[in-house]
Amino acid sequence: MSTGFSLAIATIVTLSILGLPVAHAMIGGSIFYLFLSGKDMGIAAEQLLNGMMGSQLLLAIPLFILAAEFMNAGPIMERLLTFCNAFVGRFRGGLAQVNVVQSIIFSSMSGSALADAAGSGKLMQTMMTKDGKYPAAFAAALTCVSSVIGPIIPPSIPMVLYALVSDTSIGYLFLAGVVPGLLLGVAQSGLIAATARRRNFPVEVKVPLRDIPRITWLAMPALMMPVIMLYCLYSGVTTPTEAAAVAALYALLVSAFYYKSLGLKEVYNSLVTSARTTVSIGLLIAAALIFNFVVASENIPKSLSAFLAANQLSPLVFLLAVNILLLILGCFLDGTTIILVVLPVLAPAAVALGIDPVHFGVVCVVNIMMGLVTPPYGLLLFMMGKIAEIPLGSIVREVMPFLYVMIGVLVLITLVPDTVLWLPKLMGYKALG
Amino acid sequence: MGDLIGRGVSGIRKAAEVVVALLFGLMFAAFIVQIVLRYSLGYMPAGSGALRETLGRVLGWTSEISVVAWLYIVLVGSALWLRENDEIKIDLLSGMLSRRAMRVIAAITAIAALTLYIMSFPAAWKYVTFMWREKTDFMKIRYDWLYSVYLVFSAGIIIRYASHLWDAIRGRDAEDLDITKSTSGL
Repeated sequence: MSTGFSLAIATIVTLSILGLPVAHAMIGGSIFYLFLSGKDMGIAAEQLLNGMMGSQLLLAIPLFILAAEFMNAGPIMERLLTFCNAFVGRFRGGLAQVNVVQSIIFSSMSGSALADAAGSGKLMQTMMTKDGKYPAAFAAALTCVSSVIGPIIPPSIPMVLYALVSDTSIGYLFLAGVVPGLLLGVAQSGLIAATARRRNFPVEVKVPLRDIPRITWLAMPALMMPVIMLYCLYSGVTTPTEAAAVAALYALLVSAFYYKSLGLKEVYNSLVTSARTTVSIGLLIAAALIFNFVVASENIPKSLSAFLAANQLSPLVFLLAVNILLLILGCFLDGTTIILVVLPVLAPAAVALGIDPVHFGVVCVVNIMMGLVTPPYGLLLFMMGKIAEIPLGSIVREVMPFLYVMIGVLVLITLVPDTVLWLPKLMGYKALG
Repeated sequence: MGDLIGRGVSGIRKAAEVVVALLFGLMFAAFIVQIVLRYSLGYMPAGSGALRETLGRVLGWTSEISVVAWLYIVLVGSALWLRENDEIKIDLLSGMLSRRAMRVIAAITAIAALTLYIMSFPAAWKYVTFMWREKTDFMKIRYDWLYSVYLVFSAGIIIRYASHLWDAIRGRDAEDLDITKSTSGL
């Protein structure tokens, strides 16, 4: 590691902590590195421009964002909740279970946790707290934790980012997220069931069996979405990026023509909102392209692997250490930042130790997404705090038990790689090791 | 005078928003056309040579349009449309320090960003103009024109931090940070 590189890292860290947007800190730090090492500073422009133009895969990100935006503009979410309620509302703590089941279904249409929380957050909060059924803080906390499932069950924007920095197949990554995502859902649902009686959670009015076909029919457009999505992704008809475009088109058509909730004005607004998120993530990707050139020209992954090999670190110890590191980083850093900045260094080292890159990626993404609900900077906590108009501290208290069971799932998928790799292997993936 | 600049800036922001939204729509549309074309090419009977070639070229256009739109959305959007607080930030200090200290910090980060972007501007200029001899595969756009958006981006960021520095010196506080806007929201 050269002095130039150390100074560049120091610059990036310092400027980020001082409040410069992370992307500009990274671009600035990389420019500083080029300057110090006597390289042409035009390389920054070259890496950014060619990198952005060179990857069609990246376009999946804005398109998945757009799809979720179109979906949230219509009454799709409401129909989906009614559908879930018809099935699981009849149990004690039924509405809480609805929250989890809805997240599992919705996550197979959207690639981000925020989209899920934005779509269901307000509705769920009102439903759960009406007539004092559930404590407001519990309802908000539950929406936070269940939304975390969103980016783990495919499609998933964080996994697209990981595929980009680790050169792993996005198709297999998506498949690998299915079981861990379901496990998270089961764990949350189990915790609700276990505490429902003690906390005296209510049971919803039973929906008569004869109403179920009608309710299912009304929710059909939403329920078809995962089917279409999975067909596009795994039949080989479309690339993952094209699948994202199909998802967005489908959501647009359903909302505009079936539910008639999207006019030209709403479409334009959806474009603006999606563009806003896209620009902020995109700039960070652009910055990461430059930064990764710096990391690569310093041979960092190689030296890290050599260092780990020399110290005879076992893969398991490495994975646990990475998990602890990411959980800590996740408390303070944004998920995109961690994936784009930290994982490019760690992923090659993991592979060198014989850890499968798909397994590693999914473990990391699950871990990093928990950062969305860990204090002090969990984005979802802030969002639900705003929606529910309750103090952050009370949500955090309710989030904690869920966080423990989720960490349990994280430990399980870390220790038992087949929980992650079983499905990809079934579809022909040749795992490492 | 200040009022005039203020109105000018918000005008540019509004215009950039429209441009970015339209580019987003264009990117989406290009993708849909691309999928439809690929499908129809797959089912086309053999022997339709000329038509096949034309469709193939259009297919190339659509994929070029979508990546160019993506590049422009990100660079134009971050240079001319988004405010600094809409970008992904780490917010560790804002709650802990006094307003005065925050102004000093704002000045330091602005100077750092200014120095680094200005320092690299000539090299970026050289790279972009050097690309004049190459053209994109399908739409034959000259790369120096296409890539000039990086210069717009750099210039936009330089102007932004110059104005932040000016604000900090004059003792005007930065806007409060809203954390739900300054993270990527995955």
